[in-house]
Amino acid sequence: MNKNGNGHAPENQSAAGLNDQVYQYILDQIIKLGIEPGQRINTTKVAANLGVSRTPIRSAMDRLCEEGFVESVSDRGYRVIPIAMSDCFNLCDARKILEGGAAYMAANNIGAKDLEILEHSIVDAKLCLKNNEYDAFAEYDTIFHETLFNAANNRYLKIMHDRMKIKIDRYRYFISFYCRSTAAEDTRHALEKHSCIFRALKNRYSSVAQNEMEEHIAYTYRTLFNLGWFINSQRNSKENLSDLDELMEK
Amino acid sequence: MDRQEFIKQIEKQPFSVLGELVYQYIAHDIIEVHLAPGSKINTTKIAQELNISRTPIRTALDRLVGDGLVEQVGAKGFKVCPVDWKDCIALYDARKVLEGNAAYIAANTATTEHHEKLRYSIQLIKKNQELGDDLAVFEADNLFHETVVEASGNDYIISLYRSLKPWIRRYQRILVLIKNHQTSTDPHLAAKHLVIYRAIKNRYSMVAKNEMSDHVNHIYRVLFDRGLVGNERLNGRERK
Repeated sequence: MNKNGNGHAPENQSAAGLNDQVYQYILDQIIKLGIEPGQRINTTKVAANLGVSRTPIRSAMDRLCEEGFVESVSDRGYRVIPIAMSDCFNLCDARKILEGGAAYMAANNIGAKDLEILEHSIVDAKLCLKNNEYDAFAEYDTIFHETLFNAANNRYLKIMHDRMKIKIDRYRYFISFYCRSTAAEDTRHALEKHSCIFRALKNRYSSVAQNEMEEHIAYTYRTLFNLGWFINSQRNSKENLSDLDELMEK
Repeated sequence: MDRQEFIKQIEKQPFSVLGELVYQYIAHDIIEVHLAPGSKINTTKIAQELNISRTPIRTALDRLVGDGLVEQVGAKGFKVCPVDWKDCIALYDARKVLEGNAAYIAANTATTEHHEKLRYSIQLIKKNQELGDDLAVFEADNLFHETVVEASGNDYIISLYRSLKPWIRRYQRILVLIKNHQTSTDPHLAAKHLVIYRAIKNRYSMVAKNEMSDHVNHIYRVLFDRGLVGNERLNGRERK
């Protein structure tokens, strides 16, 4: 055992390092829509592109399968799991719970410094909107939500939120990619809600802050439905239509 | 995972990543309070115990720092995150937010199997409270809460609850260790669970949410009664 323990530790660690890099690379591609939802992943090609063997790719794929980003379709093939309506609903609900709760707590705990950061993020975001820079807006959006989480001052809420971060990011890219046509209106709306939440926090109205935060999150995902993305999408029409049927029955 | 289990695992799969096994070994010791909150972690001792080099231990400790179970002291030292009542209240605040809402959804989505499982867990609580087995009561308590979360049918909520589980377990173990009273558990636990169960079964979402929030809130009082809140000597206790 001694021999195994000592002999394999460094080797395993470097292997783990490479596996990690390959995993990060593919995950990044999926999140930033380099590989689109529903698209097949050619592992041989990825291996050739990255100049690595198939083993680290295999391990990365296993991890991505476990996390629900890809699924194996045939013997060695994989595809990116299409974004389903039910998944979108679930994420939206979970975010509403966590961030609504965080807003409630933040209203009681927030200090002058965090309030100032929030105010700045809103002012700067307004400038972005004026210049039609929607990508830059995303940055200030992140600052707003993260600051609010810190202000809630509850490390367990943060642990949970960190766990969802990748999925939230995925939807963020997804929405900004497919909902370009309504970006101006959505951004304006989001900004109004931010300043609304800010005012509630400043006046320490906890329930108002919670309600407005829940509204804000629900609206973000509503865009996907307004544009009919789940109905029109050719890529995953089958899954989504059956989801929709279920919904209608209810 | 204890030492025997660790050695068994190594023998079974000598090529598995050692860092992962060491991580699980130390995490287990912290959660089960074999390593006392606030105590220093002796890497040399662990290395000797497991008969391995210190590199994988270092990797595991870095990961545990990220998880918030371990704190770094100075350049090379590590200690188990201490517990205090403020941290405990933060945990229960987070639980209130998550589980109250999970109960709301569960009232709409729970199936007959979920109802059965909830009922079964309540019976388990009653049985083990009569036997005076505190650890088994907590197991049954966790089964109830887990089932409510599961019944929400929302994979995100289920995964979020899972990430809190180690901490929930850790505080429960500490309560059992302190043992200031005859029992570490709430005598009215089964009764309150029954109320939540009935609300979910009758599909009263708002009632289920309120009762669940109230229930998690009530745990504060129990923690206070049982001496967890305001106990200065929490840290540094070790199970022999």
